[in-house]
Amino acid sequence: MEEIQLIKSLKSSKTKDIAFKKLLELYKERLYWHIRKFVKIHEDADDILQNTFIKIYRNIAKFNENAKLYTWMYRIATNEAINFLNKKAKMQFTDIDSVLLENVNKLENDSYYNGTEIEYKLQKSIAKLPYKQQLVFTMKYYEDLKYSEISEILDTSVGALKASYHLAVKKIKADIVK
Amino acid sequence: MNNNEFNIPENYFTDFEYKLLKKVNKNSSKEFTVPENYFDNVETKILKKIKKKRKIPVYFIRSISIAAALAILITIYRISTADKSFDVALNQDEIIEYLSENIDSETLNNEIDISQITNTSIPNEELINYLEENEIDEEIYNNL
Repeated sequence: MEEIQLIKSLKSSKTKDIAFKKLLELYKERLYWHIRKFVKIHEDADDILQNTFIKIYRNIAKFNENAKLYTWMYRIATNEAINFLNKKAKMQFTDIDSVLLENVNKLENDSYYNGTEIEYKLQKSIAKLPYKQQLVFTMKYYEDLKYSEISEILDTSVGALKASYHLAVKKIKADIVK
Repeated sequence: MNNNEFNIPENYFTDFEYKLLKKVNKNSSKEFTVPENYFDNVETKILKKIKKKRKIPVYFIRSISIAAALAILITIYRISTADKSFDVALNQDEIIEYLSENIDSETLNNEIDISQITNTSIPNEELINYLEENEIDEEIYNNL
């Protein structure tokens, strides 16, 4: 009920700004962690989060009220993260997978990373997966999202997501044991 | 306590405990951290950025696009008229050639009264008076 009211307020020019502030309060942390777990580096996550909310503010009128607001915002955040990494990859004449691997390598000396040895090992194994598989794994393992929700966010069938997740787990296990 | 009316999935309570602990552990994990007061600051940053972008009014952007469209149209018009004048120049040559071949110079001179053209010229005195009345700079006047 509260979400319906919030969407209505966001779509009205008179109440848009106040409602947007409320939206920021409610979702900034969730969206930040969704982005951060994928890109790993705080500075990148910060840029992407800002771009995400600016896009949400500009496009809220286009939001279909039959859909879930947070799924729509997660979708924007994911797309913004992919676009950001793509730009970074182009500048470095490389691809997204290499950028993500490089980000994980930077974690060792990152003041905003306090992972234990095993946590860092897990991050390294995740980074070896193709980036789409990384997204599925992160959303399932760290964020505990339902397959139906991930399906909406990534526009992929539930069956394909399940297969991707299980394959990712298998690869990670093999890499850690190695 | 056993309840026969409602059933639960097999191993529900074991799974529930595992799921709950997993969630609690994840939320308390400090693997990734953020700078102090980051979430308060980022909110201000985003709101500032939105305000800044809104300051450029829509009508300003529209007027720029209209001006750009007009400039393009004018350029296209000029290019097309320039082509036409070229065509006209060619036609004038043809006309002159046609006239010299078909009409003798005497009839042509009789039809145009050249004295009318010379009579329309402004006398020098009038011109000087006008320039003096309108305080035209002497230097410009001398250069005339």
